[in-house]
Amino acid sequence: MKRMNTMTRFLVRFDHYLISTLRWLTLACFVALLILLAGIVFVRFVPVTSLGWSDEIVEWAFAWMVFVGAAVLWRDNEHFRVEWLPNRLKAKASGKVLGLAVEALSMIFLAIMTYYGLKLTVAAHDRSPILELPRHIWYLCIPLAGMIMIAYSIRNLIGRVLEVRHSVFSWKAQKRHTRSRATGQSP
Amino acid sequence: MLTLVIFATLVGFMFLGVPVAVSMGLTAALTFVFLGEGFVLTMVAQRMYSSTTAFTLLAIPFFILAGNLMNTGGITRRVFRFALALVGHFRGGLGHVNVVASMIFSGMSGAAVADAAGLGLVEMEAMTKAGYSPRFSAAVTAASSTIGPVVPPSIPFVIYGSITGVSVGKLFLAGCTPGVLMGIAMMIGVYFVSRRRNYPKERMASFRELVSSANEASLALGTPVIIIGGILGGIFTPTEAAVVASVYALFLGLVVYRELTVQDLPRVLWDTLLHTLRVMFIISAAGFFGWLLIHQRIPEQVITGLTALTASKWGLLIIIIFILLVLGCFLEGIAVLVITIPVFMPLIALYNINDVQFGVIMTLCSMLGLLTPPVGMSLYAVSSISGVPIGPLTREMWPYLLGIFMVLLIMTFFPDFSLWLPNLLMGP
Repeated sequence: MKRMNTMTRFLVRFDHYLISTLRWLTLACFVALLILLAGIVFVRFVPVTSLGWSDEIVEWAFAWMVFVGAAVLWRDNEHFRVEWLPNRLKAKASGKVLGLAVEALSMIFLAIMTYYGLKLTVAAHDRSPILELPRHIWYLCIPLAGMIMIAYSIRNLIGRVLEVRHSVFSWKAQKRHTRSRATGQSP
Repeated sequence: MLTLVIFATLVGFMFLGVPVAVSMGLTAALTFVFLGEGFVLTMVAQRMYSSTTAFTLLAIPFFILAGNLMNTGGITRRVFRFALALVGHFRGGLGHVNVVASMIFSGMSGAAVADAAGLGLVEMEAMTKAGYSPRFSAAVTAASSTIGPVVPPSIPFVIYGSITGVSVGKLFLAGCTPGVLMGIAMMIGVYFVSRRRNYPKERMASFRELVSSANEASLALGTPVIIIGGILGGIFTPTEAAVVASVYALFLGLVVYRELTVQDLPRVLWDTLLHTLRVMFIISAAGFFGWLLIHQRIPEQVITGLTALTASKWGLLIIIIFILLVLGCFLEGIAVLVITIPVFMPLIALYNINDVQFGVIMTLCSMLGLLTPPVGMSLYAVSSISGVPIGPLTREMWPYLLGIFMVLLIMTFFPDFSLWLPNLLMGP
């Protein structure tokens, strides 16, 4: 029990640091894009320097912003979804099973995305034309984001399973309770 | 047949509450596996990557950022005051102010939800204080927020342009007339509802007040000029125009009006990212989904199906609009756009329909989709801000829905209404 606790504590701390790092990385990419693109427009009018090298950085920052940011949103459950059915079944046991199914279905796609993202990243060993950096570092954001999203889905899945188990148990307990009360009250 | 199965699976996943982006990716992946073409899955990462990193799409976060900065930086209030001086003295004054303020604000913002959340809050507060029913103010706010993406700058046009290669500048110009017409249609709706319920009017502003409020709002009104002028003059691309608009909004908020502090910035930036990333992740997954459609020759199947139904251009457009409106009720707007554009584009070419006009039609359809339950983003945003439940809000919406629909019909049957401005300024 005690070991369980330190483990949970570690995970909570880890989650906190991981998410704030990713959030700052996403923000930094966005700010970098703002500055770079504003700079490109600026040097067009005031040609003090050439920013030809910036295209590759822009692409990198954009891709990392999108995928890393998507992972942050995944953790916070902020991605757009149709909530009509889940809201309708929220209070019921079937709603919890539905939540479980949605999480599992999502994980299938995330696994595919991560696996092939990883393959693409590993396969891309040519170098970019201007900065001559390996192409991996552009594609890496996809498997990275995929793995983080899967990790959080596993967390949610465990939570859901515990919830379902809990609700089934409490339902059974309640049933037993009402039955015993009913039998108790009957003369 | 395959087309139906694919779309049924997609809608099924979304209905269960699977995130929209994941629904698209999963549908595509499962279809490939069941067709025994699992090897095509290697395209997942590549398609997702290349469809998100298109340079034109980079305009999206910056147009949203410009709108959000304007919302926080004290510009919203100035726009509201200017609109009040302009139309406050009509019957149902604040209702008209709501529409006109949204029209002005739409020249700075590209997303409807940003409009509903920022400016909408100011509008609804003022209307409740003046004794309008919350239902009415919420309905007008939701409706007028959809002018935002039609009048440039506009996220749907950026997406349409990025997928089809149609000039974003032309699309922006083509959105001006329908945007203004939508505003007029909504003001007519507000007028009739207000007359029946005897809503108040505001005191007519003196000429001096009008000039001073216009003067106060004038710097904010410079944004659309920068964006449109810059793109038209060939000075910058739409993406760069979005960046320049953001920098201008930052400058106004931080330096000129001093109502924005550096401490506000992380929150504003994160709000912007939240909206952007939702859209971008959908576009990313749609890149792979679109690959499935093309790989399985779905557009060709749809063409054969639809050409059998109708031979005329108008018949086709009516069918397409019907499909878009039905999809818009059940799917999220951006998802509808990215899924249907690759399917419809070959048809548009075949029937000789102007692709700029078609962009306007698609955008108007997705605006109606934002306002129709069960899935209407603006409707839900305004409902959660105002506390008016979806049911009564929807019932209060119909005059404005009708208004937008009329504009949609005009744009469909009279292409010149949307095309005269881009043709005049950029040539046909």
